[in-house]
Amino acid sequence: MVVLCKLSAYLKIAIMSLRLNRLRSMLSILGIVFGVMAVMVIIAVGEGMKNEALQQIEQLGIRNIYIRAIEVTAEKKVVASKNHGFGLTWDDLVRIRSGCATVENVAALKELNAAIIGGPREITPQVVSVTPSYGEALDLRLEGGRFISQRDCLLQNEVCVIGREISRSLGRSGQLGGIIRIEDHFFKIVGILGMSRQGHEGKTENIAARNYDEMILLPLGTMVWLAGAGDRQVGGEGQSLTELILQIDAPEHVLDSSRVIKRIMTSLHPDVQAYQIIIPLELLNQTRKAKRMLTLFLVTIASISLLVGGVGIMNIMLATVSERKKEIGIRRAVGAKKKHILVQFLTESAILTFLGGVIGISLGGMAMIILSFFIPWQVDITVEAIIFPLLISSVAGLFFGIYPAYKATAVDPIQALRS
Amino acid sequence: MSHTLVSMAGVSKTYSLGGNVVQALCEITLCLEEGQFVAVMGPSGSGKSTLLNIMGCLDRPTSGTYLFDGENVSRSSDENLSDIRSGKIGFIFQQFNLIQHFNVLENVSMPFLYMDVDQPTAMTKSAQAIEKVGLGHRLSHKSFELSGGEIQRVAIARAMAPEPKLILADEPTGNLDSQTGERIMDLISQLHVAGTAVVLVTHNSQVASRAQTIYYMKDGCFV
Ligand SMILES: Nc1ncnc2c1ncn2[C@@H]1O[C@H](COP(=O)(O)OP(=O)(O)OP(=O)(O)O)[C@@H](O)[C@H]1O
Ligand SMILES: [Mg+2]
Repeated sequence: MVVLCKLSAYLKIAIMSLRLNRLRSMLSILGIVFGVMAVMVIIAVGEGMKNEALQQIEQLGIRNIYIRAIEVTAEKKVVASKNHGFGLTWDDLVRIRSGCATVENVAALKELNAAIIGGPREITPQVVSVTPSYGEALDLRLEGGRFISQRDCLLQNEVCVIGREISRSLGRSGQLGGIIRIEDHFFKIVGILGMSRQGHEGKTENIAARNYDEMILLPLGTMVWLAGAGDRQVGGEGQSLTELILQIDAPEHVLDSSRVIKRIMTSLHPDVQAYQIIIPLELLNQTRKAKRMLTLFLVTIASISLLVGGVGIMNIMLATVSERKKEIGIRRAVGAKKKHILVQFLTESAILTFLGGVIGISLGGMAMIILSFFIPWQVDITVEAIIFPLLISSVAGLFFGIYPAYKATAVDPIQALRS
Repeated sequence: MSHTLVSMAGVSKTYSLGGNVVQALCEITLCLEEGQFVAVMGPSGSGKSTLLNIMGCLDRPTSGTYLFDGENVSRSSDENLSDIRSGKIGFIFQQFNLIQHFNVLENVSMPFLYMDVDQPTAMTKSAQAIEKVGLGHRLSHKSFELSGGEIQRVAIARAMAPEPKLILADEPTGNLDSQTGERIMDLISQLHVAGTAVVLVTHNSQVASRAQTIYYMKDGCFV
């Protein structure tokens, strides 16, 4: 009880003294305020960015290796087509499958430039044709119906599987059994994709993840795979596939397999590399590395802000101590021990830093609300984003408050009270 | 039969400044009974304040023995000396007695912060002391709003509030006109009457005449 009273007395003294120099006290905590704010924003934004990246990679599947066709110049196309044919072909897929034992499953996708007649206005669906294995390789979930089957591909059935958004925007005709017209063909809806595991749409260009909510999947025609002739169903660019997906039997084999696959691809396409190999596992590792870098960066920023903020407080506290030598002398004369003086000045530093932390967190919160309008990914105000900056600011404040408080205890009361 | 409060035997204090050694006190021997009122006079630099500081356990003698209230404090630690000052000894200085931005009550109750006393008791005792020096109507005035005489009265209240055994006053009337000084001396005399031992340093023989005994100092020695 007595201790509590004393504590409140110390707090009262500290607050009174700080209020005496209101402007100076406020200025002294600026460093802490901005430091805390910066750390908080960095944590929240970084956390959101990391989650975004991990989510996309997870969607790609860490056992998968993607080979994607990329645009090349016209001359290169000519060179390439003279020798081995241009772009990715079914042949590539077959050769890789036979050349690399760890490949467990293969799938292919072809992007089509096809117009949907009477389709939804508000979204532009992406039309692709895929092999039946595609759904399994990407772990696509169905909300209803079935996925494209082997039969569909062999018989070139005019069926399709559509994304949720498309289904919703088509209303009645977007249900199972509905008909979608693409160019001059009519495709029956046999499946509707479930919720994509991707958090939110649209920001996926940077890596290979696709937005399945707005996709229409058609069976990849056998003609395309086998003969390399034109896609009979819808007008395409000929024999080339857009994307090959190779599912490796175990995550440990992915990196080794990727080397084998690269070798096979180079031997198949020696002149022009019109493709890009994407290894989600590698991306995952890169993201982890990036996260480590981010953490390091964060720790650096935190230490700098801690240092700057702490030095600001130390500076002011040192000035305060030398200004209040008389007060210290009087207190010592009436019976204050060194430890009492220490506690008094530490209390002041602690209040300053705590105040700085609280103001910093409030400003940081506001900054994040504003920021969330400008950055595409989610900004999460996590518990760490509040606790961490508050903790470091308090530690900084106490640490840098120790020296001034120690100086205060070293004041000789006799000297201080001499005129 | 009262017992001895202050007992000094051969107490010396020397300061060494660079090569020079200043003998501020030399071989002081002095006994003070409880409740005794003594004045110390002497020219400037004769060691009066030094004597008071040692007597008040703010400072330690370079050599000699000092017993305060039966306890040898000649070699006591800083912490121990603070403990003795707290509650047993009150100081009244010539100036810089109060903390400027604190009000009267806060200044007077300050010693209790460092004592094992609960808040209500501290407040009651402080308020009583302020009442006794006639400043009951000024409790919440900041000290910079007070006159010199009022400041000294607050200082007396602060010194007496914890009911110490010894009050040390170093030229308490030095900055005041004679009339105000008289009133301050009345209050100090009352402390003595109430049973507190008082040691008063002054340059004014009229002020000193209030004491039971007057010691004269010169060059660190009694004469
Ligand atoms: N910290 C110190 N360092 C060096 N010399 C000191 C110190 N404190 C006091 N002295 C010296 O000790 C001597 C006694 O000083 P003291 O303050 O006790 O004198 P005093 O009698 O109180 O004088 P005054 O009447 O002017 O207050 C002086 O010569 C002074 O210069
Ligand atoms: Mg003096």
